[in-house]
Amino acid sequence: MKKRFWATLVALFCYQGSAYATLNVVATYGWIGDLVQQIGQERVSVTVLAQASFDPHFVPPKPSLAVKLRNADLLVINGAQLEIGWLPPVLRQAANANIQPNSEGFLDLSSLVTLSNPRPHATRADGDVHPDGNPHYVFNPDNMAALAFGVAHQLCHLDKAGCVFYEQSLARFDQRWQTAMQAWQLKLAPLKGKQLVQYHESFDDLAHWLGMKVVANVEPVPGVPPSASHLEKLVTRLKDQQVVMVIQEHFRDKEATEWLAKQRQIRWRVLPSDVGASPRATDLFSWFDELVDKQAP
Amino acid sequence: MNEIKLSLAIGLLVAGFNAYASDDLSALKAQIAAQQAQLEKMMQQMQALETKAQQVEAKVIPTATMKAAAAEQKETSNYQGSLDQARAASRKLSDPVKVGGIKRNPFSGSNMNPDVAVILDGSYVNRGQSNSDYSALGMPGFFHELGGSHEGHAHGGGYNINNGFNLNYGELVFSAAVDKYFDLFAVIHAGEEGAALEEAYANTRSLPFNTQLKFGKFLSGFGRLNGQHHHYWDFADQPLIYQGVFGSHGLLEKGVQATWLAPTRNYLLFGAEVLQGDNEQSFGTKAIPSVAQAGQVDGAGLAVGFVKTGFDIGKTSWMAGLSYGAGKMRLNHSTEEHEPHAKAGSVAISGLDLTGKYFLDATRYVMWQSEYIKRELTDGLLSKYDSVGDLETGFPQRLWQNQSGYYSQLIWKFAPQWRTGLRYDAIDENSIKVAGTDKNTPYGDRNTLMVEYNPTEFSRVRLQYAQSGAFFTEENERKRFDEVLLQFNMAIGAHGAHSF
Repeated sequence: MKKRFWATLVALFCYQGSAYATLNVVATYGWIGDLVQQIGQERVSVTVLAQASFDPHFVPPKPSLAVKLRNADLLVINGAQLEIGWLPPVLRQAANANIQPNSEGFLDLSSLVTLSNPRPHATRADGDVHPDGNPHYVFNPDNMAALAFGVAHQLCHLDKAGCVFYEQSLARFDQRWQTAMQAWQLKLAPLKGKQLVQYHESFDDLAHWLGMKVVANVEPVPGVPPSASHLEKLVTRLKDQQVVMVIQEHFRDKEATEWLAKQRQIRWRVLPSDVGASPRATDLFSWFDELVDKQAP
Repeated sequence: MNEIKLSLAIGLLVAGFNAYASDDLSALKAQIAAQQAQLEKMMQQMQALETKAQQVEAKVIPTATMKAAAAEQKETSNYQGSLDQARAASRKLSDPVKVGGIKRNPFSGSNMNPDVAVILDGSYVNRGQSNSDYSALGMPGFFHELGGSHEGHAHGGGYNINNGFNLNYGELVFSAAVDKYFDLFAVIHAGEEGAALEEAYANTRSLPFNTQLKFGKFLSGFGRLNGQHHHYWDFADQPLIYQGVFGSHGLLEKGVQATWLAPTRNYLLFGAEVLQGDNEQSFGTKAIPSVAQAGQVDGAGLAVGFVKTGFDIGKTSWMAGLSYGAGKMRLNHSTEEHEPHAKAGSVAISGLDLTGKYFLDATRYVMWQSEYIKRELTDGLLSKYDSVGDLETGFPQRLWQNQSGYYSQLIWKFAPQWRTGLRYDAIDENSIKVAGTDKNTPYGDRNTLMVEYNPTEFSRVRLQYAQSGAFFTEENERKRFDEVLLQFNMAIGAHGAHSF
């Protein structure tokens, strides 16, 4: 009995997992993991750090995250300071020289796209603001071409033998994404020009892509939950606005937006903010399918 | 070119007449032949020069053509645009306006400034003890005088000493990459009466095999709480055993640390430290006066080792650690008014910690954290001194100490901005034998409850209530009292995220 216990303990600590894949890639969020998987396919082994059920701003740092980073060949992050509150100490603990910022095995996806609403002069009094711009750029599907290209480029850089392979899967992905985008745009065409309210600045880029107008955020400033009096004021302020919908991410408290929607008798939608955040959102395509279907009139 | 030829010919003729006038005919003939040869050579050289000049002219022609072509596009070229701009800025060259200001100091390295943060900690205290009574309390066998100071340092207490308002500290925190190879981190800890370089260490960035080296002055990796900064603690004060064994600033030492993250499926970190051993609660380096056996500790006197592990089971993240430190004790209190004494010997401190964090959802969790620490003094010597500082007769005497304590706390983050917590901390063993006789040293415990409101991750207001039964007077009489504490902690600037 005692022997078996020790054998289990040793096995628990020494089991390393199989390593068939060429590249060991770690992604901070589910959607990044899926993007890398779509391009790299069987040539990569992808590990995602953040659980989709958490707020991407506040992923709890855990020892298991340092273990995941320890043997990575490539770390792909969202960037634009979305990970600033949790990744740096874990990355330091992992002591993996290959994936530190500015090294060959580090890719910051935010550097590949133009961020909306940069606020270089913001102070903390303006809330949890990211000076480089809105870090939730993934919600603009137009950005996906640049992101996918960046991932393919980086994979080719680290795995020269796979360049042709990555090129081909990038082309296939591009084709699929463009077709899907046309379908999404068609479905949401009736929303064009309409007004909506969101909880946090997460969906700015999605609204922009749809031609919708965000007239208010439920948060008084980013990162600060609304008080009851703030909500009352918001309702008064929105009285004369033709708002059609209130949206928020899945991981937040839902009372505020639900109450607001009831007050105005408009649609209330809780959207999965990442791949893996709902049973349906298993990859980038099904995630956007759900984002679109939930909002579609 | 023709002008050169002419002047050369004249020169030659003049030279020829001169020769005719001075020499005979045969010599003249030879000279003419020589001059003819020279002239031919010169003509050849001039021919070469002429072809060269033609080649240069040929080169100039296409350049000129290009210039003319470029001139046609003048209106659209960037060059012309910038020229127009410069002209518009200063219409005439003679205008007394300086052209070309400086957008950015070309020699400034301000982009390379480190991340700087200021952290402020203060409190309002209401305690069932007067300031003077509280200051005179201690933990027998660990320290006396909570409010006292020894060689300019606060003993056990340190923070939140006075009833009413306390400014515990303002901290300046600097951090940045030194270069490709090192990170540097420095903390200047300032109280109202002065500032000190509390921490300053460099960390390696790119060592292979998941190893890291740290050197400088830093918080030891011993235990779980020791490595965390005060502003990250879950309560406003330290657990009793930490206060007793390491003092209010923890095990903060000069030295080196090496860590290795083992290639295992679960988190497994090994660490070893060689430290100076200056800690005034358990170690020290200076010789004990009049005791030959307790001389100065020369060189690094403290070695620490630890192993930490972490793993997830379902929604719970577990962390556990084992720590051990061994060094020499040199505690010199020989100049104090009350019972001047000194302690020396060999100290071994061991620690065991266990933390479990259960995530209820994205913003809520329940965390249970406990630590047990044991300190043993062997080969000890106790010295007592009289009022003029001479060793009393019969001393030093043999001293043996075996002390331990623990804390166990439960923290519940029940809303995005709110946390509450309960802590029980106690000393559970305090055996001190002098010359083989047990001194029956008393010890106690404490209950603490806290509620905190964190408007953002940069500010915190914490209300803490404690029932204390852990402190004693100089006559070893226990003083039980209640304490209400309102703590404020704020941070500005660039302050890095905290680890697990």
